[in-house]
Amino acid sequence: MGEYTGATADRSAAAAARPVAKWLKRLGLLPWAAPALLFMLCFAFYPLGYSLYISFFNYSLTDPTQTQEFAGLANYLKAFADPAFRVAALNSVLFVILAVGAQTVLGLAIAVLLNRDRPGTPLVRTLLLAPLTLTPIVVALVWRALYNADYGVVSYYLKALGVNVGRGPIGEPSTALLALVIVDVWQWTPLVALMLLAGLRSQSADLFEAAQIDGASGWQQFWCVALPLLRPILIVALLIRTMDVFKLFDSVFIVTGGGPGYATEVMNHYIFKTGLTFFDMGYAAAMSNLLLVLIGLFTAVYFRAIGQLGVTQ
Amino acid sequence: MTVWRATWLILVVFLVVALLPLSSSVAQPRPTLNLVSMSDRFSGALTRMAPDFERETGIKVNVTIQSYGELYSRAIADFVGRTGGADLYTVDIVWTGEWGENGYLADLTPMIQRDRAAIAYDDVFPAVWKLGGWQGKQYAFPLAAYAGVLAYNKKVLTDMGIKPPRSVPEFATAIQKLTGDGRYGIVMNGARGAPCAQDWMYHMLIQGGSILDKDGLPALNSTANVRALTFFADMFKYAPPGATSYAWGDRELAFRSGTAMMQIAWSTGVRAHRDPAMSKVATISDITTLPQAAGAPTRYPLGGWSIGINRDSPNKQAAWEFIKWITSQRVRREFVRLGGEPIRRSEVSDPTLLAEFPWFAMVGKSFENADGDFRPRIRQYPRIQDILGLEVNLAITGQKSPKAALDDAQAKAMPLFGR
Repeated sequence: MGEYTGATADRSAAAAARPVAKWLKRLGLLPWAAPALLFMLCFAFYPLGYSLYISFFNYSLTDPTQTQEFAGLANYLKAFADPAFRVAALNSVLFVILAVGAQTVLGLAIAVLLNRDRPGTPLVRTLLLAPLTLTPIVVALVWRALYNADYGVVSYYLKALGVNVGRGPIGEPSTALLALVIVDVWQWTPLVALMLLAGLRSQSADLFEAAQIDGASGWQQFWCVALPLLRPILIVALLIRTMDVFKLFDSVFIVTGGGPGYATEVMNHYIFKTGLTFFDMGYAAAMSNLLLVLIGLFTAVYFRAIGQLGVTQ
Repeated sequence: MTVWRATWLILVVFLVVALLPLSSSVAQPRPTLNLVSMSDRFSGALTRMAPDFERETGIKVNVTIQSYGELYSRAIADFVGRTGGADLYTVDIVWTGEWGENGYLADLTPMIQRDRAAIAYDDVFPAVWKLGGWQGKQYAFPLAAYAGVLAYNKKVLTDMGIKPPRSVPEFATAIQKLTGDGRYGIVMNGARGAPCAQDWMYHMLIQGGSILDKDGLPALNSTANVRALTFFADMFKYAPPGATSYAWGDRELAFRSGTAMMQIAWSTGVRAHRDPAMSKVATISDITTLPQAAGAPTRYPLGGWSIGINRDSPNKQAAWEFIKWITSQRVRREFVRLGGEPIRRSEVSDPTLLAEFPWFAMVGKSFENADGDFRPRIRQYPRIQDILGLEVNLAITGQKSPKAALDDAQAKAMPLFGR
């Protein structure tokens, strides 16, 4: 009796579930992606949309009336006319070119060196991770002390070598940006190196053997075989670092505060000051969107480069 | 039997309902206050004394300590969002105008007037009421007042036969004489932003300058201010070479390590000067009031912190009880001993405190002629400070002349006032 009732219940439950199953099947993979989509909607698309919205308004958080006056494109035009923003944009682009360029060249060199199995190589690979494990704030504080013109180690050795450090690497307008580039290169070159090393390790030995049989020298093997195969990873590393360097904030905030003068003012630091020190949210949102466009432009250039080089596959 | 049961039930329910308000008023727990404080020397005193207040009143105070920028951002987000996230905030003197004008803080004036005798109103230095006072209303109660003082290496000055300078020419001469043999006559903040802007403002005050004119409009490129910036930029020749990128920590280090012979600093730093664990000049440094320009009225810099009640706090009465307690003559001695700074005349003349902190006599002298508006407490101040932070830095690093820098600063500041 009991068994009979159970079987009936199972059948009716299965019958009831059939439309749900059908409905789920019709939706395909959407239900499985829904949590991630919801997350993106709440924490990426909504803030982005709101940022775009308030960029068209004069909106100051500390305005006692809390009025949001429609300003059209005024905040964007203000950014183009603002000398501080223009300098910050130029500094950001210069920083990206110098830092990402140096990280790519040095990272590639390190990856090639570590690609050969020699005694101690595994230890060096592990040690390479050390700068990556430090928080940028700690790195910035350490480098600030190292660069100090009066008691910093860097200045001490430069003086010992007979170099006139003047007000110190971060006190001179001509060297301050370069000093920050060095901090970024020190911390993030290992990431690029490890990414490229992973790419090199995944390349088939057969290709190099074939090249060797064809009479290719070591340099030719690297230039004509290894490097073209490495390009997709190189492009990804460039993309990641470019986006990251455009968002540079910590070292500028801690080490130089954007100075001396405008020497190290970068977009993200200027946007932070406008938005979170002066609470001029409309203008800060407009500048953030311009930064987004700038990063988008760089990304497009990289993807175009991939397409032209035929390495998308 | 059923009737009896029903009658008893009704009676019990009636009694419970009738006694409910009474019981709730008796058993109502005392509120817990949330205080967000600046990470400064006095914040340690607040944390250590909060349990004493709880023992006396049953009101618990949770103290959260934050850095300057974080405190400001958190407070603004709380005020604008009307979240009532904290009941009490410590308030920097330069925030007073903005927070008062925007109505972020509860007006304490009626409570202060009501409890005037209990809080010993007249014992607080008149100038110190600028901490939290705005346009005739008191939005926050003074908590820790700082005097801008000249700290100097007494031993070296005495050995070289130099008296602590009283005038600007004496100051300049002393700085020059003291420089040499690995020593620097003075150290100042030169880093772009608040560090160099605030240090320049000390010099502006000394030279008789001001940020605003008598009409309340920017007067950044006035003759006195240009003179002050010229002097300030020149003095970097006698400061450690890296001083153009120094902020407060670096400046203090240069003085405490015995490298720099003089600095203008807030009096709250003197404890560290006298601490042998932190200072090489612990037994040989001293402070004095700032030198003054000839013909200029005697004005000494005043800064510091007050404590105010969030307008959206549901515990305003309890918060006021805490403010009254922590600023009362009864507990102030302990508060000051634990890291607080004086606000009352009775504190700078207290023999017990003077035995421990002998420089308080000089601090009291400075408070008597203090100017709490040398950094104007207006809502435009953060912008003005940022403008000056850039232009002063450009002048001291030789990228602009002092006159050009202040002309540019003036041009940028005027639009903030609708001009």
